This record gives sequence, C-alpha cells and structure tokens, in this order.
Amino acid sequence: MVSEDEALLRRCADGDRQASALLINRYTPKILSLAQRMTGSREDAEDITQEVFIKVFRQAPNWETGKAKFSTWLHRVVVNQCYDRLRKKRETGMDEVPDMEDDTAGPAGQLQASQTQTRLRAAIDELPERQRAAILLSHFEGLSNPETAEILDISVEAVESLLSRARRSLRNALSGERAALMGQVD
Amino acid sequence: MSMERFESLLDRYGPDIDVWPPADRDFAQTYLATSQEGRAALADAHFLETELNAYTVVEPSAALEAALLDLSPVTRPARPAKRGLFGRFDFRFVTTAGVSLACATFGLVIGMSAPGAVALTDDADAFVTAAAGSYDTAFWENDG
Repeated sequence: MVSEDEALLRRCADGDRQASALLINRYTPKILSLAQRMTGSREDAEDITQEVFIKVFRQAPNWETGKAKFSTWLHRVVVNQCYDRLRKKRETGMDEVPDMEDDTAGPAGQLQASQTQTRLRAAIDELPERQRAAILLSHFEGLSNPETAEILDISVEAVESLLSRARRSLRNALSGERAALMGQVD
Repeated sequence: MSMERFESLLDRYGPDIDVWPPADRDFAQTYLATSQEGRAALADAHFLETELNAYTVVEPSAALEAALLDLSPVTRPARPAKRGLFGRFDFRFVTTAGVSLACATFGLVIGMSAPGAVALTDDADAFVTAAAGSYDTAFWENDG
C-alpha cells in the first residue's frame, strides 16, 4: 500500500511542482526546527534543510514502496546531516560561539524566563550528540522510543538510557533557574 | 536508596506520574508523601518539561520554501510523436535472439512453400547426352 508521502514522492519524481510544494510545506518546519535545536544555529539549520531536500528529490525516483517509512528515513537523514555539520564545525574550530537565537527576548518582566530559555538551550547544546538527538526526537517530534531507536540505529534500551541521562543533565542544569524563579515568587 | 530509585524513574518516564507503570506509580506516590527531596525533584522535572515546551523555533521563511521548490525535479519533456510504420514500432524489443528467430522462421516458411525438390526433366537429360556426344577427345589431347 502506497502511503500519502510515497504518492507525493512519486509525483515529485515526475516533476509535479505542486506535489513538491506539498512535501516542502509538510516537512520543512519539522526539519528546520530539529536541525536548529541540534546545531543551535538558524543558518546551519537552513543549509541542512536544503541539503536534506536535495537528498529527498534525488531519492524520489528510486524510492522503494513499503521498504521504509518515509518520515523515519527523513528524520535519519536530518540527524546525520546535523552530525556531519557539527563534526565539520568541531574540526574547523567554528563551534565555540553557538548562534543562540533568542526568540523569547522581550519586555523586562520576561527577563528571567528569557535567561531560563538561554540556559536551557545552552544545556541542550552541551549534551552529547546522541543524547541531544534522542531528547529532541522524543520530546519535540513526539516519536516513540522504537521509532527513535530506528532513526538512531540503536536498541530501544539504548534510547531509554540516552533519554534518561539527557533528562537528568537538563534537570540539573535548570534546577538553579527554578530556584531563582521560586525565590522571585516568594 | 528510595531517592535514587525515584530519580531514576523520573528520568526514564518523565514527570507525569499518572502514566508510569502501576507498581512504580504506587511507589512514587508513597515516596512523595513523605519526601521533600522527592517533591523538589518532581518540581524540577515539571519545570524542565515546561521550558522544553517553550523552546519554539521560528517558522521557515517564504524565501527558504521558494529556494527548496527550486531544488525540486522539473517536468520531464514529452516524447516526440511517433510517425509511420517504423515510428509506431517499439524497437526496445528487438534483440539478437529475436532477429535470429525471425530469420529462421522466414527460411522455414520459404522452404516449406517451395514446389518440391527440383527434378531433372527430359529436356535436361537430352542436353546432357548431346554435350557428352560432342566431346572431342583429340582436341583436348593435342592442346599445348
């Protein structure tokens, strides 16, 4: 049985621009947000999104129906592109100043909340890559542990372990922020 | 020991204790009733969940979506219309084996439809006899 995504892929392969636009609309927000949270950089996330779609359109004529779920394959491509980008940045020493886009910056009354978000993003950036990927796929993409395991090509038990360690690190990183917020409330 | 177990469960299942496995949920509720440390850890976990939910990313720009659309495959050019007898024929099916088979079939049909084996007629017999009678042995022997 051909899924809706697979039907769109076939139409993309035949040069149907409307199908390409539908696929882009459906998946670009997901790819962009996952890549931005993985890399901490909007610019890198946009580059990665383009690289991912080049792969999607190249794969479209050769897609084998029923062999893999398109969204699972797509998430894997995104995560691997992010790993590549982070590795290249490490090798060239360009990962020292993360491009932290502060979407929550605003009035002075939101300063503490903004600081908490900044701290959270820094804590996510400090997570080892596989822990980061696991928490992002699980929390933000809403994927199950077996789906996350398939994308990361590891066992479900390994995913549970990664998630557990990631949550512990993030919880510890934010405990001071919560205490500060509680102090303001009191 | 109880705090260690509670934190381990908290990290594995998240702060919504209602969705924990029943045995772990019972343990957590009993533990939280008496442990200030446990309640603080649970509050930290809820705080993390809230902050994660607040981590939003700006939607993709129209410029990015347009750039992505430019990467999409273009429509394949239509095949030119086929004309005439050979234009209608699909030559993809022409192979060496196919040509050989067609030649063999053609030869067989021609052979089968010919009017039997060619027999010598009376005229032909007379011609051969005359030719043999006019043979001049001396002429050939004196040559050279």
